[in-house]
Amino acid sequence: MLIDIAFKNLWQRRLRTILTILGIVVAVQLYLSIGSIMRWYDEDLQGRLLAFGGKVYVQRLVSGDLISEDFPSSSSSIDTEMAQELLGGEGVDPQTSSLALFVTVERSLRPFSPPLVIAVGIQPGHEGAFLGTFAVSDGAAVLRGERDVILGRDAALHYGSREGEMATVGETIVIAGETFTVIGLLEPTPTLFASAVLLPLETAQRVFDRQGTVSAVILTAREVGGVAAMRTWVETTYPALSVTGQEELAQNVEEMYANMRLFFNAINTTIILVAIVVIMIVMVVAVMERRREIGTLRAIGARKRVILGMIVTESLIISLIGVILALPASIGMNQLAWGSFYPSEILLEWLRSFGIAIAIGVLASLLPALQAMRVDPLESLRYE
Amino acid sequence: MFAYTILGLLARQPHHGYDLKRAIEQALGGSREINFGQIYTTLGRLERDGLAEVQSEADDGRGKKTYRITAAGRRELEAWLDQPVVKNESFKDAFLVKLIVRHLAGYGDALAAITRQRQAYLKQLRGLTALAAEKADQPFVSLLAEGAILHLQADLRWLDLCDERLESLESSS
Amino acid sequence: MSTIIETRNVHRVFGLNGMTVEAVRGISLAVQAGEFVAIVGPSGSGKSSLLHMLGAMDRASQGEVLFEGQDLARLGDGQRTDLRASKIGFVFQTFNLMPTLNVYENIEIAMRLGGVPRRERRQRTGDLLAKVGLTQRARHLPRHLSGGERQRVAIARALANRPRLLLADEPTGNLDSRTGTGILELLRAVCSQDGQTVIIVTHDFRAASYADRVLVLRDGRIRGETRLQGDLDTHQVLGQLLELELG
Ligand SMILES: Nc1ncnc2c1ncn2[C@@H]1O[C@H](COP(=O)(O)OP(=O)(O)OP(=O)(O)O)[C@@H](O)[C@H]1O
Ligand SMILES: [Mg+2]
Repeated sequence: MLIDIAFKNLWQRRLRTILTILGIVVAVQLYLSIGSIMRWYDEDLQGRLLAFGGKVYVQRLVSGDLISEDFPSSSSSIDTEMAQELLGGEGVDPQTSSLALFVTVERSLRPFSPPLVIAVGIQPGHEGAFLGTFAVSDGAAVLRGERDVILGRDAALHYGSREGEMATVGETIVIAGETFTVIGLLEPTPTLFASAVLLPLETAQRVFDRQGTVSAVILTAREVGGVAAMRTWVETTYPALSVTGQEELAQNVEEMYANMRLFFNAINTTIILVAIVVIMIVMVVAVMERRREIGTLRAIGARKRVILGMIVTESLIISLIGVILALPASIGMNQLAWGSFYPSEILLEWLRSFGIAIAIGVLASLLPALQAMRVDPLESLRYE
Repeated sequence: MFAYTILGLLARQPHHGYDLKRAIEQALGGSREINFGQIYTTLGRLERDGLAEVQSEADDGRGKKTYRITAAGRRELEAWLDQPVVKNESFKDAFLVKLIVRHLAGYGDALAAITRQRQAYLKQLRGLTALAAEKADQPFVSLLAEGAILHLQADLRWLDLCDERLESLESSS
Repeated sequence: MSTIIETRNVHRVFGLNGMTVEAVRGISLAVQAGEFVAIVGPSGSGKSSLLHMLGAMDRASQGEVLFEGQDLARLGDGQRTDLRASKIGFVFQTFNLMPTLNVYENIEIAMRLGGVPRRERRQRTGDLLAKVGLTQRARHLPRHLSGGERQRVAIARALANRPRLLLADEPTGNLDSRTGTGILELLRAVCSQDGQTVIIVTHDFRAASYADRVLVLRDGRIRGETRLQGDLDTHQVLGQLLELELG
């Protein structure tokens, strides 16, 4: 009812209002950014799980090395001969299965993230075993030469000749002191694939000095429903090896992300609380300063709920403006930090954050509104 | 007092009696008739004391004289104008006398007397505030009224003081 | 004539740090519709305390305050607030305008709180501005007005909902005497022209002389009561004055 008065009160104390809104913008943009990171992880995870459909990874894990910490495990090691036997196993389609060697070339700057660049030694012609449903968008899909590489998008960016540019097909790049030719680029994919540098298995074993061993055997079932039978065979025949399929991956990755989520959620909760406290302090001060005005309003006939409405409205105006401005701020920050942003996700977060803005505004105003409602009409007469 | 008013008017320019009557009435807001007798007696006195003199006498046979101020009159007027006023008479308060006599005579109920007096003052005050508002465009009249208002306000305050003091006096005796 | 407000042996006791102050000690009065009443008395005599009870801003500790025959003590906060919104106008010594609202809005706010429809609000605000002579200042903020102009706005605000009763606590206390006179004439005019019932509290006898009835308070009790009704012959007053001065 006194919405115009609420606006005018805020306008009256412009500097304070602007600073408060700035505080909310900073908090909410952080909240949005974290939301987008979490969303990004989730989507990445979903994409990766899809790529593992109908497949199992067979690895030999060093004791204590939990799969959740690092997948595919770069410390896993299987003799090439034993690995070859696996390829001939029951229900295995050797054509879409392969031995694989994973070596981390470049660690990621992001927390809890897969490596930025990971070398994937694969048997030429069996690239699909690793890539699954993902395709090459540019150049060739098969490693013909000994020094051919196929790059995921992130890896291509990493090896680009200039900052922010991807390496192109035909370009030569240097890995571990040796020169390679880029023959293909992957379509946009989740992280693990985006950071992959596919190169022939033998070359990889030589370059990274891992002759005679591989990290994993990627087995694809011959029939769609044959995955279970296939893994039972592996588990009974080679009890020392561990088998990871879509389910474990989902479960393990979920475990790995659980901590991260907890951490992020804690930050998010803190951000929201800080935003509430910031507005609350400002509103409490505003009510203290305006006791006489509020008393006057009461004296000339404003009911308690009218006063309540005025204070809640002021608080809501601050929180809503803050949230609206937080969108561009958040996009800007994302761009600055990682040179990328996820508009649709942010938009979604943003819409959701309207609810949060209202919650912040209302919660922050409860205490000051209560104080304001308690102002006696007679306070309009005190002027000492 | 009246003599000085007439001297003041003569100091500006010579006047005859009728002019003086009109000028005084005008200065007082036109609310009061001044009678000729008073003017002529005063003029006679001024002439006797050598403060004013007859300048000319009209020949219409009715003896209409024009008066002017003398040098002595001017000195007297200026001395009077420059002399600061000492307050003494306006401290006289008839009501206080009544209060004292009431007390001495052993009549109680000073409060009733004070209340009656307050009523009288308030009524007078009401008349004066109305007058001051009505004659706001006439500087001398409104000054006169405002002065009286301020006096009455002081008197009303003083009545409160009487009330307070007498109450403690009565309760102690 | 009907009684608008009445008190019956009303008391008000304030408790402060274990000490009690008896500000009002048994006051009975009745004010009729259309009356202009002034309450005078020395500082601390309980004038304001009494006025706050009459204005439904404070509750009596003992006794009754009847507004149009209804005991205010029986009303809840909401009902008393509604009463203040629609039936009682209050003018403050310190004006108490909303600093962020302009003159027009300051008058209108009372009607918004009183639930007057928008169209009628515009109409009435215009009339009130004309009545208090501030039509030209409608868009000005209070801080750009003189004290007298502010008090005019406050009076217009207090009259906005056509209250049965207009209360004013030292309405001229913060004004010089000339400006104060203007305010008092305005109050006098709304009383005599519109039949508005007015009660003012003042310690200025000059202000009190504008009323039809003066109540003198001392130590929380009515010490005296004076009626001042009757037409004034200013001509006669002036005559008497001059007689005195020119003697
Ligand atoms: N809220 C309060 N708490 C405690 N004491 C109070 C309160 N309000 C008023 N009083 C006391 O009640 C007495 C009467 O106060 P009140 O304000 O009614 O006097 P007043 O006649 O209006 O005085 P003034 O002319 O100075 O405004 C005073 O002694 C005052 O200290
Ligand atoms: Mg007071």
